Amino acid sequence: MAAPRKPFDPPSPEQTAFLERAIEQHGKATYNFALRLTHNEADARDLTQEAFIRVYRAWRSFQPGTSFVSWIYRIVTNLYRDELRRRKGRYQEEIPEDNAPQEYSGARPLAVEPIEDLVESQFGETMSKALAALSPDQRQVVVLADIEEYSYQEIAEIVGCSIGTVRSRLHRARQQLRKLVEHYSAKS
Amino acid sequence: MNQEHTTTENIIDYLHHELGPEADAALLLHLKSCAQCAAMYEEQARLSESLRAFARASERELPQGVVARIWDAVDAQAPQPSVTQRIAAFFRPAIVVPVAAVLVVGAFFGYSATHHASPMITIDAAYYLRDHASINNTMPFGESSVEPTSLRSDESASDQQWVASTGASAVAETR
Repeated sequence: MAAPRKPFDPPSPEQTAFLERAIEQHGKATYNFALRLTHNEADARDLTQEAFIRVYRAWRSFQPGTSFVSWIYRIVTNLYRDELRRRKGRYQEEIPEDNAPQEYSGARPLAVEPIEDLVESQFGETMSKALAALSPDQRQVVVLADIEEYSYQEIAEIVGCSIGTVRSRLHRARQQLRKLVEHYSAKS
Repeated sequence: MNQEHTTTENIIDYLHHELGPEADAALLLHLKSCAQCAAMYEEQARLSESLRAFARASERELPQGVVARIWDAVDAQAPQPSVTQRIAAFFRPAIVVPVAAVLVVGAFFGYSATHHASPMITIDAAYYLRDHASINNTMPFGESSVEPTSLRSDESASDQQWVASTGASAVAETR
């Protein structure tokens, strides 16, 4: 693996072209992934922007032949986790890891503009609310496993945990999600 | 597996193709013969399909503002020039030439203003108009008086010589 570029090195045309291609080919997917993780458009924009800046800085550490999308999803995931940690004190919100039924308390950490506003159908609104009510860790594995259709192994690499953790987290998340969908369906 | 009901966890792993080949085949066989487990499977499969449908419905384009902000941030992070580069940039001709010209002009006028040379002889304008000019005009043979352009005399040879010496003959010929 090539050594990471030093921050004060002048940008090369290859580096600029790399970023340009990355945005063009994977910008939309990255933004949608960030949007599903955060359930908030402003946060998704910030995450996407920061992720591509990291890509630009560390472009030499990307190994050709590996999945760029997995790489940038890992960056987005790490940035999101850091942001949650940073905001945790501010919002004083517990991030449940267990399967205890969790009612949405109204203190959603990153949702200022909920994604449900963007989805017109009733079903979409229900699903959006249910996803938003999951913990960030649970939402992450559900999005990666069921929407992005990654394997447990790939999710473990992106999230930075063991396959066993991915499996148990996904099981709990899906059970929780099913209850939440029923709950919001009954309400609407 | 065929006789016992399976677990939700197994069904979720099966849905995500995460069971080993043997367990996968066994569960497939069981689902064909067990309505209760098949219903559980259908429920989990519907949840997965609902998630994908929601993702498709809520998919958004990457806002152009985000792209612009990425490039702005990248430009802002471009390395700053070193002190040597800044000095070299300062001494480029576009800056040095005008600065040098300003310094030379400033030095010249500054020197003139601070070091007075011998006072120049000046004539007061009022004096010139009132006295000097009027005095000269009233002295016909003064140094500043207007000389006649030609003198005519046919009688005296000395006069002819004087005319030739003053160039008056040339004037006469042109006439």
